[in-house]
Amino acid sequence: MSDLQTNNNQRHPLTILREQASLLGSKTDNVVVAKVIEDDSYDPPKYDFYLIAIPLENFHHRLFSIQYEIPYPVFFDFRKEKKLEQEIEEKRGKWKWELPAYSEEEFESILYEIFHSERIKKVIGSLLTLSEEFVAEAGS
Amino acid sequence: MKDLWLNKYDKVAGKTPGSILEKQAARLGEKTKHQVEPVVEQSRVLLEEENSLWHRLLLTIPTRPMYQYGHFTMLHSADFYPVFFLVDEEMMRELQPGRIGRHSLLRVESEEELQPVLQGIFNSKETERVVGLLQAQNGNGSQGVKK
Repeated sequence: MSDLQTNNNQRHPLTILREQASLLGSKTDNVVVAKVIEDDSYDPPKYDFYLIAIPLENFHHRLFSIQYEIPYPVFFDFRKEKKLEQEIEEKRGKWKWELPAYSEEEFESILYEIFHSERIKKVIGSLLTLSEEFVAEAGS
Repeated sequence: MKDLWLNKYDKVAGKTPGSILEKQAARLGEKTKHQVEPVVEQSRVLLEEENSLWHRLLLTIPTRPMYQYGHFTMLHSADFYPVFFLVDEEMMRELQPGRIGRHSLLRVESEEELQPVLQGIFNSKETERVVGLLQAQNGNGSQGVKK
């Protein structure tokens, strides 16, 4: 995985996001994985972060999107996941439009909160349960 | 590389809408002595840019594989609820007689609401009518479904 470096040695948000996406599969026996998909219809491009349930015919669930100005701040958009937005808001307080991260450290801190949130536990847990059921029914 | 995830994610407990539907559907098969066999097809569909899980209840005649009837469709997201039912207008009129206008989408908020809605569908006159027609195709006359 190429590691994009920024001028002041901060790691590029996209590199960090893709690295994190690559780690989820090992925690779910590769039933639920994460993927970053670029949407270049926006300028600057938008990067959507998805959970994908492989046995559920690659069912996609979008968690959030990011856009950034090279390389920081990064702006998080939770428009497709209002319950996650609410939970992060309870910890960080309300923000206007999109949640900003002004540094690598802050970006990673928000990702940590997302990945440890009750909402993510519930969504991944649901996808694991649904996947198991789907495979059992397909095999019966 | 830092790992920002939890070490492990666990399955959620509780019945999925699909498993509840399967159980109720199986009862219909028993009541018709398996002359009409409900089959739940499931897949995913893209709905407004996001995926939904789709469960379609087909009523089939085991002895005549060519005959099948798409009775209704149930949809939900990664959250088990709300569940949305796509039913025909006739069925909707039975389920919600007071509802004004033409509707075929029924929203169900919880497992507690899902059970009676499924019972309402399987015990409806419309289900009885369709099952009767399928039984007639099977050469057993229009016996309907024994409640």
